[in-house]
Amino acid sequence: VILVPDTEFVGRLEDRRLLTGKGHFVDDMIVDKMAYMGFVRSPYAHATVRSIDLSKLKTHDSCIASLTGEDLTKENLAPVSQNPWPPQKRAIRYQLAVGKVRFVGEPVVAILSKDKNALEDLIEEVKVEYEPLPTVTTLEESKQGKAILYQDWKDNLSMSSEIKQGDVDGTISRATYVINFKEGIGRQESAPIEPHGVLVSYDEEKGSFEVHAAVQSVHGLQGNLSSELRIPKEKIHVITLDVGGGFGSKGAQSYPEPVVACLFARKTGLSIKWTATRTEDLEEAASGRDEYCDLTLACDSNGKIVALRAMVECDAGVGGTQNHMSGLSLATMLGPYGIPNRDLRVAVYVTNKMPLGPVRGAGAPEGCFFIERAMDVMARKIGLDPMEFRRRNLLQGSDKDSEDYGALFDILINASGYEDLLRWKQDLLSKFRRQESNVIGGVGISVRGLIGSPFGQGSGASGATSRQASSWRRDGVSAGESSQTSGQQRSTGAWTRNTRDNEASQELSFMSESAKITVRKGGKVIVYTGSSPHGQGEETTFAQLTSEELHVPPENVTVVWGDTALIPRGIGTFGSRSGATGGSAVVDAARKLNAKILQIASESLGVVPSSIILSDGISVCNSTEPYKVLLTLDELLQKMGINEISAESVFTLQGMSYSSGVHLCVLTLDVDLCSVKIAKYLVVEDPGRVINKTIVDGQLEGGVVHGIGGSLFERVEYDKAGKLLTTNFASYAIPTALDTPDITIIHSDHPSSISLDGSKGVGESGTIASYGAVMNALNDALRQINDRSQCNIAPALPSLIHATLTS
Amino acid sequence: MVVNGELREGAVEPRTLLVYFIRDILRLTGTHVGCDTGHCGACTVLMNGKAVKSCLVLAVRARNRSIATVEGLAKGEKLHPIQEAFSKNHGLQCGFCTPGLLMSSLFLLQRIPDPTEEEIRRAIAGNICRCTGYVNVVKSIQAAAEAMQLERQTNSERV
Repeated sequence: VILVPDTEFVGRLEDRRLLTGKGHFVDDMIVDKMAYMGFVRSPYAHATVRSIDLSKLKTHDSCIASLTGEDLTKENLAPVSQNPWPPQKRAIRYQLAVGKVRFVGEPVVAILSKDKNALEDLIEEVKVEYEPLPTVTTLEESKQGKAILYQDWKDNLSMSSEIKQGDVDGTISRATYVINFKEGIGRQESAPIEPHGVLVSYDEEKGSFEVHAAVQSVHGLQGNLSSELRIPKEKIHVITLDVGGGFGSKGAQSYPEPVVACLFARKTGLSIKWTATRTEDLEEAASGRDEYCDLTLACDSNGKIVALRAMVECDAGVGGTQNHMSGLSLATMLGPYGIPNRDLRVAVYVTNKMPLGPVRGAGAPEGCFFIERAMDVMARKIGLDPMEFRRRNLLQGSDKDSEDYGALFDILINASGYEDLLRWKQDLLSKFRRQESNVIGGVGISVRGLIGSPFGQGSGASGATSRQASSWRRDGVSAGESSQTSGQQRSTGAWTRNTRDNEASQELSFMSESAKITVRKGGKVIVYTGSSPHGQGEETTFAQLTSEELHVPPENVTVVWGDTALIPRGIGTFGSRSGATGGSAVVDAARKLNAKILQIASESLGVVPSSIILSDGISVCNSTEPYKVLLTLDELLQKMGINEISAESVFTLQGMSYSSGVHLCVLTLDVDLCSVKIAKYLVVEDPGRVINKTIVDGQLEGGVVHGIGGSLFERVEYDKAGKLLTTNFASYAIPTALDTPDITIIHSDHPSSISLDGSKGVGESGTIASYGAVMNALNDALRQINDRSQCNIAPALPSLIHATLTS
Repeated sequence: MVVNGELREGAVEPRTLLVYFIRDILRLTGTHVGCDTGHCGACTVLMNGKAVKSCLVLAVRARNRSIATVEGLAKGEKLHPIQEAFSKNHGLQCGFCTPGLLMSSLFLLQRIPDPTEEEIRRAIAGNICRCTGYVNVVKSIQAAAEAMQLERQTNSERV
């Protein structure tokens, strides 16, 4: 175990502009001939659109144009893009509702205004007549088929999948200890603080669009626009500037607004700006989780797990986008434990709610929570300490890169003062029993385990699939591969984009990223990456990697991203993949560049390449000490009559490179108020080789707090009629500084052998394990008051805690 | 109104919010809009020295008053100690909520030069940050408080 010492952090290269108000976010742009776009959105969860009256718009000078769903049908558009992975039934959804609306917030009419203030007046002037239809707002209603959401479907089941191994029923019937209970995580938002937005211009002569957007993937948006507008992607130039967070919601899925903005731009010749209001973002930007699990776990008399049965149901909202993350839940659910017999199933149902999509962790937090909560429930049943019970069931020697979880537990026990915590809890309980206090304590742990392949066959880069499949980190767990899947589309395309005519998607997979490095006269180095940072600090870390490889100061390195003209191929930043995939591509390109320069120099100098090395700011030197500069970069470039040298890489990881870790949460529960205060939070993490410790820790801390939010505060609420109740940040409660603890991160770093830079994905790791830690700690507190009742549905809002205590 | 020490004028519709006057008319785009309902705090500026959410203030209400925005913090190339501390302590990730947090921090440290952690957390409870989990934000403000105290000490010794 290597403990990483604190190295001095001097700030990031991106910090100065962001701290001085000179960041460049899409809504900051005001250009000539600009008009503001807004939407009339459905107030009904399910209704037929009877009529739309736009006559009053004409009385306003500020109104430039409007579009309805009917107008769109004349535009030769494809429906909103739906990703082929994971396999799910096809649901046709148009950018503006045609005939029916299926969730509150669905765009019905688009309006273009000369003036920003007037836009809201115009929206109010549109009269839409709806005829309400029966709504499907719960899993039960969807399963019963209270209404069928899509006419060509026979029911509301969008997808089902299963992973099976061994004789589960027989093993459970013979087991010594069996637990069965229901658990779940409610619907949670990504909720980046910057709302979605675009600014689109059209060049009539070239027939091309320039699209500025707040997204996690410019190539993703380019692909969606290309397929929906039915024009070649070369005609669509997508640029992203600074982006104010994404957390999944600005990632792969397609939204209607950019397409509608393109239509307005083409029709009017104006630049079209749209900035979502917070309510629009909360109504429409993909939310996540909303998965519920009926779980049975069985152990033998030695406390060894013998079987797991899990029936997961997911309330996916409307179909028609990329929204089913449940396969990842199954792939995560075995954790790091040896579970010989298993029957894991998932069924995904559509409802009249906003579409589900990836939210930080994208299915993995649910799977991790389901097993980690069960580990605690079983440990209590057997009468074992939860940590000891986990130790007994750790999978041995499953993967050479993965951390020895036993060692992680040891570090956790020492660092947390685990024994003292148990005494602290006892003291609080004694005071509570003597009625000196209304507060009790709880301690919970959770393990961020290994992950099986969620993507299955055919999802990798062409040719790489079979090798990938053999090196997935988990033994034979592959929701796509070993599963029976219903749904019209099989998992055949690339994960990245849905379009067959999008070349980039055929070449690059979820596990790939592009990089190009150029050195110019004077030693200026430019790194072009297909990753798309929006807070992850890749301007700094990719400059660090380049600096290491080329021996130049990081300040000489400029990292460029988010521009489809400068970077023709790329995937983007999501899924905890940029450090490992994007970083590997940067290292690969830098090494290629190094070799290329030495090759050119060796020819120029008439020496063998092995006799020279690059040192001292890309100077060509003798390879024997003392290094003597034979040729500076500028001299070399001059000699060759060129201004710059470049090398490119498209790097594909041959397997998964994700971090592992153990979380511990210590909290107090005020029994009278049913409120929870997290006193202490500790993470022991193996993030692989650490490029920048402060940035890694920042990712983990933010991730943990996203999970604390989903465990205790954040729940998207709809009423019985499907009306969204959480339409602003008062009703949808994101944790504030008062709700969150200090978080201690301890490293136990083992470099990845899969990524070239040795790093492992860490962006979602903090979130994935946190639900289990918080909910286990809470239940540890609750059982001291009432040991017959548990709180197994996150978020544990005070009302739910009260119900648990009094049941 | 006086914005960052400069007299600025503009004609607006009565319903124009201060944040849009600052962003769209004065073109000081460091002040952000994250929620338009006063909850997220990305639009926080100082009005007559007090932190306000500029999406909850009509521009006309700021007439004849002084406004401080994030653009006024640095002196030329030299960052304000709060900005310096946020960078050195990784108190920002995407940077969208950061201008609001910086202004709330300034308001706090002008009132309480040596705040406790509880006072810091209370002072920024109206600023939502989705990236950092607040751990490094709190550290940044603690470091800024120390730096500003040291600066004051050095200045007074010089006098």
